[in-house]
Amino acid sequence: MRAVCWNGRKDVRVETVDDPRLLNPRDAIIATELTAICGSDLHLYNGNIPTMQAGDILGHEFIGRVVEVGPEIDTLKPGDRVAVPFPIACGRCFYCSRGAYSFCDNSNPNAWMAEKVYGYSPAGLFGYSHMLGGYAGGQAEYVRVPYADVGPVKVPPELSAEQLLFLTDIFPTGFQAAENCCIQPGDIVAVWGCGPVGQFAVRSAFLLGADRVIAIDSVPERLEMARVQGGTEILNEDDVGDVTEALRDLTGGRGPDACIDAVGMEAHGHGLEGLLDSAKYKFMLQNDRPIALRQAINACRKGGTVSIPGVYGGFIDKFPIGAAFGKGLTFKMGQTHVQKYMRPLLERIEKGEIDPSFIVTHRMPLDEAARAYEMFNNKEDGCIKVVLKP
Amino acid sequence: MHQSRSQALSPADEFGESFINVGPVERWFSLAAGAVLLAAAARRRSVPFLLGGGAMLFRGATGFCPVYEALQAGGSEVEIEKTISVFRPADAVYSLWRNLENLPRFMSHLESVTVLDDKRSHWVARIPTAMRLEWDAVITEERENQSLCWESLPDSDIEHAGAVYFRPVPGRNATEVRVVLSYKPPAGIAGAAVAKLLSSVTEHQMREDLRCFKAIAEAGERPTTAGQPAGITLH
Repeated sequence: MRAVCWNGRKDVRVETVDDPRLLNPRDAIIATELTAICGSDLHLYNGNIPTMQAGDILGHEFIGRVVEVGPEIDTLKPGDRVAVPFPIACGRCFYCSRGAYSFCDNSNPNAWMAEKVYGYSPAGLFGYSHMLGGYAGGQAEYVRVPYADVGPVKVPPELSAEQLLFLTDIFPTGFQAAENCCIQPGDIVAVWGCGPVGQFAVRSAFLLGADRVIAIDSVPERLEMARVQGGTEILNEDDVGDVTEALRDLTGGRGPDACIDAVGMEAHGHGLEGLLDSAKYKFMLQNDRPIALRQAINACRKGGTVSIPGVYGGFIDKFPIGAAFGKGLTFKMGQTHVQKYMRPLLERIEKGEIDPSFIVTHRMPLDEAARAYEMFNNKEDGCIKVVLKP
Repeated sequence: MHQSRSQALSPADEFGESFINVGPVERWFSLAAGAVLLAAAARRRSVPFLLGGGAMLFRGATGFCPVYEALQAGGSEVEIEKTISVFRPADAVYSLWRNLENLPRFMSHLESVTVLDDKRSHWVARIPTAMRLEWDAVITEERENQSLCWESLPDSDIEHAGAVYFRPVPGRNATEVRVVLSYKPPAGIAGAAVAKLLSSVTEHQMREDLRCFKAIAEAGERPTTAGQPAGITLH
């Protein structure tokens, strides 16, 4: 089959590899109908996630049809059209039984690696480094899906692949980020980063009853997408200079009730702070650049919530713990428990409350993945979300 | 599949270079720590910082740590105790273990266990095929859903004893499983086969084995990627 393989920093290639086969009794093999490049794939592309190996198959957003199931699987049959969540979860451990699927105790065969850095290992993920399982990913014609009785959700034929694809990651990720804000009537939510997760966080905040949503970015077309389709107020960092002050003015001097960092580890800083962070990052004095996170902490109102769907992998410097403590902030973060959200969010799509396909800006064949990665990484041609067709 | 998974769990094998004894994640952080120490050394003009930073950079860059090497040099006997929590009631967890023939499914140093009768069983070690190490064991104490103790018969080629304790976790449908295993060469002299076994029963491996036991008890299978496709460009 054809598959997108990571070969090093800024080096992905579409290669012909063996077809996957069933390895465990609860596995299924899926023929990919549509897949996408996630913003978090760019962290791999830019070499910021350790324990990648040349030849690893990338991708964790994919939908497709079941072609084969293991002997333990009776909930799916060949031909079923399914969306597959990006975290791999057994469905039966302590965490899965509480709906915390992305903390699954059993799905990471390389849990010891993650334990060395994190103390305890989160769930394995598709196509996202050996520390997180080393599973072959979904940017391929076929994918092996473990615990197929837990993850994949059958999706209706009336809905298009582009309407359904984002149930696998970015829609639930934006939704969980908004849910973590515990939005009350009258709340103002500020969202840093208008990439795909930020776009869904903006819309989810409205779905969950936020009074106002303020989106922050420096890329005009991304802000425009947040405004036109989300009914959102927008803040261009390049225009306002001091984001905290601008937010103070926009919120009647109170500050946002909740701040969402949908940027994560590769934030682009401005001025001296951005320069210093880039230098420290280049000399390996920190491996994540927390500029958006620092702003979110400083801008948040007293007793507010900072929700972090943006990915962080290692260490950061100058974390404003004094501001967080002084204002008694609540922090919520982590990978998304996608399995928990897929059915309720599918219902919202079916009811027409949201059409996730708005996010797609580029459609390309899987064979052009290398170009697609480059384009998405450089934000060329207004690129916000690329889908790849095998 | 069993063999290939235990290979995947060894950082040295994963990178195909036998001198490597520092894992890939730890190497990453060694490099970062080395850079920090060297920067501090430059600022303070400190020789200890310079040496420390150099050593961290060395182990990060090469993957070889002389301290680990010294620590891993073999001893003459092993006794290891480990605990894991399994999200199943004690009776289910107990019966999975009580059927001793299940042990090789998660104990990577065992090739097979054959039950001879209610108390006695025959054990074969998983060591290189040119060698052979087997023994008979007897259950010395058993309390249903609570504990199980066994030991090798006198005059076996290895002195082995094991005990496993099952304790319900209050307020949760879970069981704490505490395992104590010991292996000693008879009369204190280790032949090649016994030495091979002793070197494979490590703290790290026991933790992995118990993790595997938990996966089988909870999810019904051990997670694996052995045999999945990958690109070949640089392999």
